[in-house]
Amino acid sequence: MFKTSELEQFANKVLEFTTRYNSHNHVSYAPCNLTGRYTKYPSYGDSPETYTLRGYGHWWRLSEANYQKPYMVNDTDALGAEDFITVQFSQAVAPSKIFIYETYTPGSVVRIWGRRMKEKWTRLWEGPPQKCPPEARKFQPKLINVSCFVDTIKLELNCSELNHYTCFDAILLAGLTASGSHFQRKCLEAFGIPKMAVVTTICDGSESYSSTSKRKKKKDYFKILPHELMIHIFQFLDMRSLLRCSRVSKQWNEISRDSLLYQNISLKKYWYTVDSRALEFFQNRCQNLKKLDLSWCGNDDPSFSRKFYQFFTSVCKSLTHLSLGNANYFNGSHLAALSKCPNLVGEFLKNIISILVKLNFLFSELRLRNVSIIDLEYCHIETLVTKLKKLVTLDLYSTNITSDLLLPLLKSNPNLKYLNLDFCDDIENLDDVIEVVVQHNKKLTGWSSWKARRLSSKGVSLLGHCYNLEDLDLGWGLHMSPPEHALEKIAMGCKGLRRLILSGWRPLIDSMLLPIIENCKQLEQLDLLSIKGISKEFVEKIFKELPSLKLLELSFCDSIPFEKIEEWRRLHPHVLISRCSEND
Amino acid sequence: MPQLKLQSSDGEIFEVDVEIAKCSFTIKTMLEELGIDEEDDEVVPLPNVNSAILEKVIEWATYHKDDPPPTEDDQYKEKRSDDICEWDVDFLKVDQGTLFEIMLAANYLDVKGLLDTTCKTVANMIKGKSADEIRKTFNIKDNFTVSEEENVPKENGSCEEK
Repeated sequence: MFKTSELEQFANKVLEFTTRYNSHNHVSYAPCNLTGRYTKYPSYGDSPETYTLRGYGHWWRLSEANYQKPYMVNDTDALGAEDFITVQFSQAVAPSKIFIYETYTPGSVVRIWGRRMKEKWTRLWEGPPQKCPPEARKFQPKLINVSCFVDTIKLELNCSELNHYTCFDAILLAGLTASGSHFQRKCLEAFGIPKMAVVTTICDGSESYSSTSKRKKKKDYFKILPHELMIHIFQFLDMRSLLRCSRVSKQWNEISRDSLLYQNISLKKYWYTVDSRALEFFQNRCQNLKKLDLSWCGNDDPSFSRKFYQFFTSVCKSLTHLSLGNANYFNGSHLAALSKCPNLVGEFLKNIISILVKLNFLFSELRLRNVSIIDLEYCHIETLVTKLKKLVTLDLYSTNITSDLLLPLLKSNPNLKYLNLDFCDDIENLDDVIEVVVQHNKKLTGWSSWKARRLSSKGVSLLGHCYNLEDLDLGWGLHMSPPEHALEKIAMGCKGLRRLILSGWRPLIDSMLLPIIENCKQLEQLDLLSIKGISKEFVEKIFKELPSLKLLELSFCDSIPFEKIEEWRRLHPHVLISRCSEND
Repeated sequence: MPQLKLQSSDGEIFEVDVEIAKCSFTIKTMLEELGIDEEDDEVVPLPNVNSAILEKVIEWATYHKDDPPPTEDDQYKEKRSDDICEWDVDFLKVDQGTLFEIMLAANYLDVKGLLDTTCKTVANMIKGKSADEIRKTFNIKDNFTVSEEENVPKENGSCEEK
């Protein structure tokens, strides 16, 4: 006989995530803080002992170095999920409730998925992002009835409605546990748990015209449409609808396979369902592929990397944009697991570079967020550098890119406009990178190096020669050494700056920042988080000098009393003044 | 404002402002190439468009006469169907036959804006429906089964549900 009992448990391990606030080796604000019992709830506020995400509001989308414009505009996610985190629990249960403890700026969870071991993902809940009052929340979503056991939970997040960054304290998963054999668990799944509710489908609620045409004689008007008109119609469909069309009739099936309909493909939204079979399906249709977003996809399928190689080889000839966020199948441990399986041709896929060298000369956007770049071979770098010459966007957020690869790439791409090197800890010296950028990437508009180390005031000063800079994120770049005259150089050179992130530049004082607000009159976003040397008189000067200001981050600026913040919020209602500190 | 006479397939003659008629790229090119003087009393024959549909096309073109002309790089423009203006939504609340005939006329006369808006309307009728619902909506006789290798991957196996 098997026994069942109700079990409540907190997450015990973080498996994967797309974004974080702090570097790999820091425990404060780290994803792992999501594990275990809640430590802060029900108190409210920023806390280093929670998992903290960085981006919030619509501000994030204004920075092209960070935000990827959708590749397929008619197929964006209705709930706007942009990030996720996956956590594991020690025991599989048939989920009855989930509590999510949000201790700062709650409201970002839009979807919850569950599964056991490596089985299929099941949607447990979904709903739009919520506006919540500024207090800690124990979020208890009403789960869809499912007949499966789960020990892994994935939260999809959309922070665009929040007015500050958000903190998660803990996740609790409760439900029936079965302590019997696999067979018994299966029996329970089959009989003991309520059947799964109707899976929601994406529907735009458009009205059907069939009711109005009832009076008329029924006729299939598509029969009189020329092919090119049907393709014109199908071009406006999302991927799910297009695939449904292929099952309607012979005529529709033929037209739905036209490669003109598969020029821009974004499968991130369908991550839970994109496996090697799906790639095979798309391969024949994607002969005109220009933009490909496979972020979040393929990590559950052991044969995905091999299939991806074939797929990519076949479709890359016309590719201009590629985004592979969180593609784990390139990393070492994943490959090691593969090589144990003799049927898989592991050597095909030595590393991401061996894929990239296949790209064509027109390729312009490369986003490899959270992708491991391994086993670098110099011949690959050389090939890559001779191929990639038209890059406009290079997003290497949290990759292990090294200077050996990065510097030649930068040198061969004079059109580069957006560069993201956040959390790139393996770059030997960021000053050297800046030196190359100044010489070779004169069009650079957006630079992001949040938490990237090995930057000195010399490097920052050099950035003053990037005269087209509008978006400059140097968060935590100079938190130890004094910036000397670095900001003055930037102020004189980059007069078109609209976004400047100086979080954690602790040695900064009023006089060093003065040239910025006197010269960069178009500044809209200014982030001075954790700068204790900024006085309230200076902040008042900021309001006076910067007419376009819309966002001012003053959290942990301890010399500024909270009363002043409230006063400024009243006086300058058009500026979002962000502030949280442990003392408030 | 100079006028132009358009004759539908069933012989009816419509008098329209030349500027409005020119939102049809076909007519615009014809006027330029043939050098038809606007003072002439010529009638432009449109053998592929009947009077009911031509009237609709002219109504649409009159309302949209001040729209910016379509740009060169239009083919790279974003393909979205949730941006149909309210007036067009109302304008296209017609039976399916009329809707498709307007689309065909827009294609024949090369009226880019009208072609897009009709195609988007039909696309919105397809979106979110199962293959079966699509067949019902458009009266498509199904004598078709997807062959095994052509089978679209299933939901939980791909983007399409079973």
